Amino acid sequence: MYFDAPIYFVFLPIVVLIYWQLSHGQQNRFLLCASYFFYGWWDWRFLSLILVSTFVDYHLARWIGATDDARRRRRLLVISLVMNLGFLGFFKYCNFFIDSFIDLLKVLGVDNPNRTVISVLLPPGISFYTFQAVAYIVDVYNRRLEPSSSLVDYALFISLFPHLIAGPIQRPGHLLPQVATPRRLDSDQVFDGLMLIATGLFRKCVIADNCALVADGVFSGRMGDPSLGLLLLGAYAFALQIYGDFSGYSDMARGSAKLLGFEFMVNFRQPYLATSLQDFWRRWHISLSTWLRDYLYIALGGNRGGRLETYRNLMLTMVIGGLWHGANWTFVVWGAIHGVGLAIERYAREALGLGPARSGPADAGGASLTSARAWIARILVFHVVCLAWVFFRAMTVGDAWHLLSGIGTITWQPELMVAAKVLMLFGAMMLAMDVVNETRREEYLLQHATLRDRFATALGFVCAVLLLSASNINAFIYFQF
Amino acid sequence: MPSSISSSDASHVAEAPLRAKVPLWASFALVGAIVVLLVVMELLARLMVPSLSRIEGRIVTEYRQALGIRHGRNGVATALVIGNSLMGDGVDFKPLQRTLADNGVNAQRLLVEGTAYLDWYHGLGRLIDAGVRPDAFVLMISFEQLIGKEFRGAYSAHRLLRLQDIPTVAGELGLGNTETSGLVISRLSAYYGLREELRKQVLFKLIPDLSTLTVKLTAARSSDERARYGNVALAVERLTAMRRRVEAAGSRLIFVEPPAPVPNAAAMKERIDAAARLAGVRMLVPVRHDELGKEFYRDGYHLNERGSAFFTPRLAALLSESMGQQPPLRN
Repeated sequence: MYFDAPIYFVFLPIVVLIYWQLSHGQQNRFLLCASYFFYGWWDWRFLSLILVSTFVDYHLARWIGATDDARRRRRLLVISLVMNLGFLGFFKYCNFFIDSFIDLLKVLGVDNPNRTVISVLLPPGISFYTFQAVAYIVDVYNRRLEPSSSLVDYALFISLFPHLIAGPIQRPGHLLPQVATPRRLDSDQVFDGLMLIATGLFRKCVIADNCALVADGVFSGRMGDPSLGLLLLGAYAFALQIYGDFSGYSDMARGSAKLLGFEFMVNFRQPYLATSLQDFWRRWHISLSTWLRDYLYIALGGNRGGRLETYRNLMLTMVIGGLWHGANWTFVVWGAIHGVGLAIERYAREALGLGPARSGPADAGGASLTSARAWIARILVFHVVCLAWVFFRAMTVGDAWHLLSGIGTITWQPELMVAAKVLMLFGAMMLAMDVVNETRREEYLLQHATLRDRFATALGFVCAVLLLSASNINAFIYFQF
Repeated sequence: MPSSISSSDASHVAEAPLRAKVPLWASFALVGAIVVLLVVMELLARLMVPSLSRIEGRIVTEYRQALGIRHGRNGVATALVIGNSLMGDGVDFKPLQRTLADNGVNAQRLLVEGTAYLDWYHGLGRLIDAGVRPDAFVLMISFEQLIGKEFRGAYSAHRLLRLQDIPTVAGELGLGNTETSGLVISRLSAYYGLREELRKQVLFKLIPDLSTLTVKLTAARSSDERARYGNVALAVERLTAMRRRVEAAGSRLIFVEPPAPVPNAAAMKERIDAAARLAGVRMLVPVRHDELGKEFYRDGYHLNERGSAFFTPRLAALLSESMGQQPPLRN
């Protein structure tokens, strides 16, 4: 079930109310059942996959933790990785690789190659829980983590419903101890949870879904032939949509977790206020970017080799990060744009003798919100990010090029101004929230204000959601990954 | 880039200023306030939406009038003309109603924009359950809408569906449990069913010229749908299902195909004729698809005033004749 669907607001209160009546052991078992119900609500058949991988990984980790035989440990790690990445590869990339292979054969002159069509349904959340399982098994292998002694605890770490479908990807060292130790009902945490859910609903239902109307119109071609105006509108609209959509989802996930006494990692910190691409990746989908850094980039060698190796590792990490989103060349190009951008940025910093990119609010060492130079950098970075979003949103690389081909065409249609007004209305709300959050160093609007102000803010968000929530057809974008 | 993120968590989290502990009752109060807001919205949707929106007001009025339709007596037949914006734009209803009245037919209209087969098949069930009994249901949607999967979602669930129809609709559309539960809630809650209308009203207040954009988006989408070719077998199946449903209530079904510029008008005409013949439904095609030029359309799909002035008298003549030809079936 989606977090913004009314049925979720039937499910969540029932779970929360029962949950707090139970002892710790009962809570974990109850939450596990609730999480499997939540997951099975899509399609109960997919439960078998998560059950199998949970059961196998739990035992493999136990065996890895119990032996000092390096070869046996490595063999067990490989078995786990092959299983997890094999499931992910089969369900997510099977048809992509078949299609790409056939395209290659056509390029090589093989006419009408015989294609076996395999209709593979993508189990929801497989990319997220697979990465979480891989992090667990690698941490156990590297002796950074003791294997869980309880199958229920481990299963709950993998399946806890607020993060199950689209993250934030939880680190085992962060979440497992929370699962294993008793939680206590904290009234601050509960109120923060409600605030985050209200904020997330506002970001998703008001900002993202309304901007989606413009983005869908542009990318489907219904707004007309490509032009510079259309390209900018489409890119801006999608930039707002995906940010509102995914950050809204993350807020709701974190808020739901707080109601159950769990703390999830922050996943977004005002990414469009980044003054460099490096800064952007410290603010955007943080749970994925840090996962890629810790389990891929560093495993590839990170920046320990020479300059060229570092660039190669950057590119590989970003391209694989792109491919993680889905089996489409558009995601590869999206990752490559970020990889090239990061490499250029790194080269320029080294060549100019500048230090590492600054990040965060001004009083935490980041760029000031009143500096004109910083705003120029922000605008530049935002447009590089938007360029990458064009590929991310387009159905094919060809579609993206088609839209980009209008960059030199300046035409005017009255509906472009109306679309711009829609974006200005919702974009201004998003920007205002981000600037306030950045200035006050808050995770949600007015987090540190008085109870009365927070109460009013939450009710304001709920009123806006009730009056302006858009159609019920826009599922969360990241649910498909 | 990840390479230099200093920590996987909390690198920018501010040290929270000391703030007073929030009592637990505050959370309950917030949830309570949200529940009150929901109740207020539900009441607003039930009482105010028809007066806030001209279209909603018209639909509610027409629905109420439709509820009073019964089989005709004393030589006066009755007809309920149902359809979507193709009917709304293409038929000037007052003159049609007058012409039909002159020919002994008392006609009422129920126009719900954005609807298609699925909305009306189930909508017929709800109307019949509510006691609506015209001698003929006259349905005016395009052939493409007859065979398509378009469905107005939450709005139709609220206005046109019965609760028991929802699993069938969900099955036909391949909806998951979440979407299906959304339809159930839309059926029960006026706010949830009508919230898109509410949003439109608010957005139009904020951006008065928004219609420039929405017309562009919907018109282009309609043209895409028009370009598709029909599936006669499905049309027969659906027409037959609707015919059986209305015949069981002692009425009959007349299907009116509105004109639209399609790539192959002759092939389309053949399909329509074949489907109607096989389904045993009276099909009226007052104007051939290739008969009207672009100047008769508002957006390449909906007729404009000139188109309506051309189409309405033809429909009136055909419908009068059709209503007079076959006596209605009675249970």
